[in-house]
Amino acid sequence: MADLSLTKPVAPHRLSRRRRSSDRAAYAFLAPWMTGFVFLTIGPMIASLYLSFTDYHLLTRPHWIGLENYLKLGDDNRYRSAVAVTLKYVFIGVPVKLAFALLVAIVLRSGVRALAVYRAAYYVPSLFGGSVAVAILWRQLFGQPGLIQQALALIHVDSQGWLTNPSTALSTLIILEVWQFGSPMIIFLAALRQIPHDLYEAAAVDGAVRLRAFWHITLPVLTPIIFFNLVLQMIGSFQAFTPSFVVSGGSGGPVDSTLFYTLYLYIEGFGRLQMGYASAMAWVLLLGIAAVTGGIFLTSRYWVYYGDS
Amino acid sequence: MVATAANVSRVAGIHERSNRAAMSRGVTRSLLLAAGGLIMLYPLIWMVGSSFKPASEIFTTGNPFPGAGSGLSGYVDGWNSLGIGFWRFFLNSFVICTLCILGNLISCSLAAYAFARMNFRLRRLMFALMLGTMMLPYHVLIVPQFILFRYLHMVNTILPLVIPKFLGVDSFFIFLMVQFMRALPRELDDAAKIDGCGHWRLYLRIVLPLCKPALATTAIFTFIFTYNDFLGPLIYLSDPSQFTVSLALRSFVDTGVSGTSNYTGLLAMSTLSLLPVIGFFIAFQKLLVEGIATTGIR
Amino acid sequence: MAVSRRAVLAGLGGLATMSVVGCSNSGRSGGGSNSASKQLSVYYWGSDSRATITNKVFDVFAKKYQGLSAKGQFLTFNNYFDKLATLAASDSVPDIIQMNPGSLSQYSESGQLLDLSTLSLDLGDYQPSALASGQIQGKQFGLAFGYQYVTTFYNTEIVQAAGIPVPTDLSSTWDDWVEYSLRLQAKLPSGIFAMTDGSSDSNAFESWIVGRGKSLFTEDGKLGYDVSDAADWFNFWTGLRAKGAIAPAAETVTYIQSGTVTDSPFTKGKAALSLGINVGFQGYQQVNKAKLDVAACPAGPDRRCESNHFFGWSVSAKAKNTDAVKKFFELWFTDPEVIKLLGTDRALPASADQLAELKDNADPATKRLLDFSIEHPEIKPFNPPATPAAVGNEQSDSLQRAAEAVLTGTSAPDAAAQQLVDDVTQALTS
Repeated sequence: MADLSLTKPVAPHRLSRRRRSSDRAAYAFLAPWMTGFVFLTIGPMIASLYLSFTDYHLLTRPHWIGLENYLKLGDDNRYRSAVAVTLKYVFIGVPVKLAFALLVAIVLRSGVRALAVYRAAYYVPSLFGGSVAVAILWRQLFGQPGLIQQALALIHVDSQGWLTNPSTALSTLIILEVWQFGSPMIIFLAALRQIPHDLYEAAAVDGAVRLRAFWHITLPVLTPIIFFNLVLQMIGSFQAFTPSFVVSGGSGGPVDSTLFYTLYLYIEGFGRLQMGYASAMAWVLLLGIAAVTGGIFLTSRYWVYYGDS
Repeated sequence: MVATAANVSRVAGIHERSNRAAMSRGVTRSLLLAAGGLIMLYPLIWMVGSSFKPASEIFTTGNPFPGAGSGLSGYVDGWNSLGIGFWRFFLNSFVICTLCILGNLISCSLAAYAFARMNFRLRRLMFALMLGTMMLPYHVLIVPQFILFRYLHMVNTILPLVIPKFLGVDSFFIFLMVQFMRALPRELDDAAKIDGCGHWRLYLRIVLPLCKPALATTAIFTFIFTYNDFLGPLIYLSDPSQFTVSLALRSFVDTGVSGTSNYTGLLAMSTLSLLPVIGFFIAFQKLLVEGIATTGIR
Repeated sequence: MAVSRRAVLAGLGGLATMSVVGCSNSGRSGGGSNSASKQLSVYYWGSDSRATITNKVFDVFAKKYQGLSAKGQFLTFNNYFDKLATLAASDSVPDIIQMNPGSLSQYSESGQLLDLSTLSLDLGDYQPSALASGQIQGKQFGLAFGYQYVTTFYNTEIVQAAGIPVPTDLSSTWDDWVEYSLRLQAKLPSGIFAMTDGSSDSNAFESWIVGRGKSLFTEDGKLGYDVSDAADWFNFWTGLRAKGAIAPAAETVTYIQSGTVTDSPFTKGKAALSLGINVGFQGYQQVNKAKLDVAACPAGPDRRCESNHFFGWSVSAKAKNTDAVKKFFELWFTDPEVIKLLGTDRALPASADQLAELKDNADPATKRLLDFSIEHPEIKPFNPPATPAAVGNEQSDSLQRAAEAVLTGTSAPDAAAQQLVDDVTQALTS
């Protein structure tokens, strides 16, 4: 991935002076980010790392207990449920969501009439965000009695309210996530728009086997954006909080079936005031996400093509 | 291909056949899109329709259209909730969102340019750190950050909500812009350098304008995230007249011992609160499609 | 082009910031750092209507004491404690805060609260038992608004239609109420049930426990009930449901998840009876189309079932202007105009005189509630031992989870009872 923007040989001392001045230029550009990073992010992050090794009840001073918080995680049943729930949510929800996003983006890009209307329509669900209205809506749809249940009954499929049944409650949240595919879709649309048309002209006359055009032209050029969306949706999904908080009323119920990792963290940290324990959970999460992301980065070398390398 | 008469008519023939095929494909596609759109929009339609219904009707049917007994009472009650007109919450949200968008556009594009186009020591390390900051859940950073802002006497103002955006804390957008910038051909840089452009001019005059889709995406998403953000305003704002829309919407449902919910008010105000967002999105989405497709970059 | 547009935007942004920041300058000094300030910061949870009432009280306060004022912030219950915890962690607790039993213990134990006996408050005929409910280990950390205890609400229209009046004998036990429910159920049309499932209601559970002569926690901070008490509780509700007197489980789960009165089957006219906290009566009536009435809670021996649930004000240990706090409390609890404004929004007043006074101007629901307590002087709410600080709100959370487990069929009642006891015991020792 290393690249040199110098195209002609330069004398060594000239090189290092250029290097230094280009370093300085870079740091100038990075100044706002570095300020924010040091004061607003790294500082609090270090604080939370320290707290994870303490017994901090939020209302009293922290005191050091070493690895005890981390060890406690191993024995915590609710923690295990939270991890299982979150893993399911991420590894089912994200791929499905991205698949929809890409599919619809491609369909929308190829000159449909009233494109703007469709684009807005598909994006609107993402605007609901973490609103309380979504909770009411979801209960109306998936609760007992709910619209989905009634609709299914029409075709003689008998089902319990999805939201009140521990084995299906999580699916309603996955559906909620997939329903909001508008965000990655917009990003795909923006990227698709950046693909120069002449790339297609070369293949167009060939009776246009659309699938081949997609596979050989669109997809490779899209890989940086797919990569981006994949990484970010994963990171976001691992940290998902609001869907569960709002739909389950903050309990992660029924019976912890929608207890997202960060919801449990929040319950422990702000509900039970065990900020030290919550910090430990946060850092375990960070390591987990870093591992998954690192894995994606490592494999990216094989399937992501950048325009500049 | 040489444009001989034979070739032209052959191509025309192909086009005619593929035109008919394209038309029927187009119709199916439109139908599917429309059906999909309706499914996506049904919840919104339900919400808007229910905001006009009396509370007892909301949960009884799936029919989203208001029937008998509907009216604007949800809107009237909801508007005056918390004793302050809802316009105040819209104003507050608008100010905060605008500032955050500005902050993100500036700070994130600067940082992205450095990561994408400049070569400097520790670049990869810093990039990894930047990504790493996205991985820590916000909830454990709240307390230390709150203590910091309190030390700076900034709580009870909007400053803690806005200043971070000018300091590039949203790694999401830095990463987004990096990906867009990296997709731009390197020849641009070389051409500019030959013309004597320094990094600043390159950034401002060439790279940024070409990144309009990424900038528009950043603006839209920043708006959405900030508009819907509720934990930040919850912690940092205490005076109800400073509340944002997202915070005000939470006051309609109370789960205390005798807590009641004003569902019509909630749905009415939620409907209203969606309007600026949709409007913003529609206004900016054109920028998303302005790509370099027609500017002939070779 | 782009640059100049951006410059304009930046300029506008600057102006906007200044105006918004300028507007909130008055709020800048908030958050507990009111040095010699004349303004009290008050923090409470509730809904819109409570905010309106409370703001009116603040106006009365400001008018009476020139130079002093009170500024309130309220949030809904589910967000209240997060913010409070953050404020506490950064030493910026508001002067006066609304508390419940769990948080009272938590915050007092960590020294965040002021011992109110240092204020030497003069509160008229405020009952000693109400005062005692806010005491922890002899120190006065909380000042209860009044009395909050479990009662039974019933839908008069359903009951009348069925023709079987509710038990009015205050010593009716849980078994008596079961028997009544079954008799009632036989006369009810299909789709309407006698009772609302209360298995996840921690106030009702406490009532059950005290009815057995025990308490949730003992004086020395241990668990006051055991697995068999909890198992009997879950079996009680399961049994009623099996006999058809309670709505199907899934509906109850929905209600638990939404957590508001509006979603209760009782409110929707699908159930005849519901257990509820007395001061919630007005709220229930507001959202119920039918006329409601109130009866006593199912009793235990000595008819003990009205365990008083602390709900009141506490004061931050760092409050600067304690003189203003004293004036505020004396106004709150004794001023006739304020008493009238407050009504029974938070609790039944702890003063017998005030109870009678309120009756005159109250709305029908409040009036009925006040009548009920006046008619029944044998209802004497008593104060159970305080919740240990380590537990906080864990008791009610664990109960809800266990109830859900039973309702969704995930656990048998006995297993759920064991889980409940284990969870709370673990919280006690952590």
